[in-house]
Amino acid sequence: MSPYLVAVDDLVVEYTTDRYTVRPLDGFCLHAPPGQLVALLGPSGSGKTTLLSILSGMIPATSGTVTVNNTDVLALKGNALEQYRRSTIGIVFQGFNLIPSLTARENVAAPLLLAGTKRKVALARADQLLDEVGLGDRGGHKPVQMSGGQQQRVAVARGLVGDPMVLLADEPTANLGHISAESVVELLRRLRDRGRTIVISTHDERLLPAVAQFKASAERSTTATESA
Amino acid sequence: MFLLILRDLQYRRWIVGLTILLMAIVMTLLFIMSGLVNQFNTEPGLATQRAGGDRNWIVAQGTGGPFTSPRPIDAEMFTSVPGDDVLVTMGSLDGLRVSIVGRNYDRATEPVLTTGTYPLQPGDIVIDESAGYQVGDPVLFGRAPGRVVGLTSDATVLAGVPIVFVELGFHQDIALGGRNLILARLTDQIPERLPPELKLMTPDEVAEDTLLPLDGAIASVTLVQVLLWLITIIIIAAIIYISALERTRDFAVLKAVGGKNRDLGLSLLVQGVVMTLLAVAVAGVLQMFLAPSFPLKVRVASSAWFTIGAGAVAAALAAGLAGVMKVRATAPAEAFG
Repeated sequence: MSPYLVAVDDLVVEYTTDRYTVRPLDGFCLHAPPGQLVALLGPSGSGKTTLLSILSGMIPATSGTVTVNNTDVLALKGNALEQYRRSTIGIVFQGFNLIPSLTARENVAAPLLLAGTKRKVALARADQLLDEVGLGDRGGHKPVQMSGGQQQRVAVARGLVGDPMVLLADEPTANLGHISAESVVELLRRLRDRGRTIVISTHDERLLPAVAQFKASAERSTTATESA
Repeated sequence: MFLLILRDLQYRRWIVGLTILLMAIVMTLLFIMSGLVNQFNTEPGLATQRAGGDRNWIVAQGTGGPFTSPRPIDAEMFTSVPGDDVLVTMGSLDGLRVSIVGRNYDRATEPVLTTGTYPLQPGDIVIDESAGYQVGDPVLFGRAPGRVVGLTSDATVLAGVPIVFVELGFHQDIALGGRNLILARLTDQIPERLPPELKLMTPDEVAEDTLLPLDGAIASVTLVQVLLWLITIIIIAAIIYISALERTRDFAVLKAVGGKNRDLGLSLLVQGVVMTLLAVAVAGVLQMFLAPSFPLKVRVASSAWFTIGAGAVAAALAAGLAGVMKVRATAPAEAFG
């Protein structure tokens, strides 16, 4: 049993296009115990999103090992992979990626509904999470009727709906103004304080003092380093 | 899943509405075309029944059917055959092309009248309702005057030519100058032996013969139906595929949060089927308003609802596979942008 909830060792991801071979991650390591907030730092193209895609089992790795809650993520397939995405991890995307046709509460409930949870139960859980992210009164609103910050908080609530051990957030403040960004960061910090493990990718170093316990540089050929 | 389908239909309601309307217009034409073909196929049997009931027709050798190549011959040639004399000719009534059936109607049970009486006197006529006459209306056969005494229905031949029923002697007067010629003898029996110059046609054979001139028209309309089906399939396929393209990001997100290919693909197919069934329903209503404006009678069979509905659903499922393939090909990693 690993003491780490998230463990990445010697991870190599290599793409070959017609003319180039690209290695966004080359020997990357990361070890995060439970209840931590890990920030992946690096400029665009440094492999942050690639790492999140690997952690969520969406793309294969060239070599290395990735375990989350002692599950070999790289070996997951089919139903086991879908189950992993539903209950072990939650994902918050950079562009919110809410379904425009659904209300906030339906967006939050969507993963549960897709998993076959009864509608009433799923929507009740969504209401509870919207309350937690401070949007209890906006459940009936469509994404287009909400600000960017509110949409991102709905996206966070959706990421939490399966009660995951790990929340993966890809540039969660990139499309937000300063005030909205701070409200999202504050939300992530509260979640960490309640025992969630959160891995965020960001290139906004201003936010780090507020949130990060671990700072992992996603520059090529580097490993995660512990920050203050 | 059904929530996703419902919400997406609501969200894109204008596009969905326009799509349904477009499909419905094409399907309305499918209903109309199927109604025309059905009318072409049904008309000869009904006409034969209206003219002679279920009885057999004894006609001269070398002739076709009574409605396609009527060749009256001397009534004396039928003396050995029991039954009722009948004369059928093409003619003109007030300038309208008609098929004229002359018989003695004193014991007649056909055609079934919708109103009025049988033509028992010279000049009396019973005519199909589609000709637009009312009981009591005066008419002219060339220079011979007559009067409408009864109306019947479904008595047309050759794609809508009305049948006029008149008393046999009057018919011979206006069409043959009073000569005692007849076309056939109607009989319930199947004679053991017929004179060599006569032959027997069953009602089914008469109906089949009456249908022959319409073969080309039926083939043409059937070809139009095939083309309409092609258009329907292309519309449905395009709409489902475009819907899948528009929602690529949504599908990626839903797959990223644990949605299965099977469920998401199924939702796309169900959406296509729902839209198709709505289009069939709208088309079914539209055709009811459109059909009466057609110059030919459009007889939409109740089975057409099932045929068109099931065909359209099958088309939606087949066409929707392109959309389902798109869903399958959508990588959840696309949600990361």
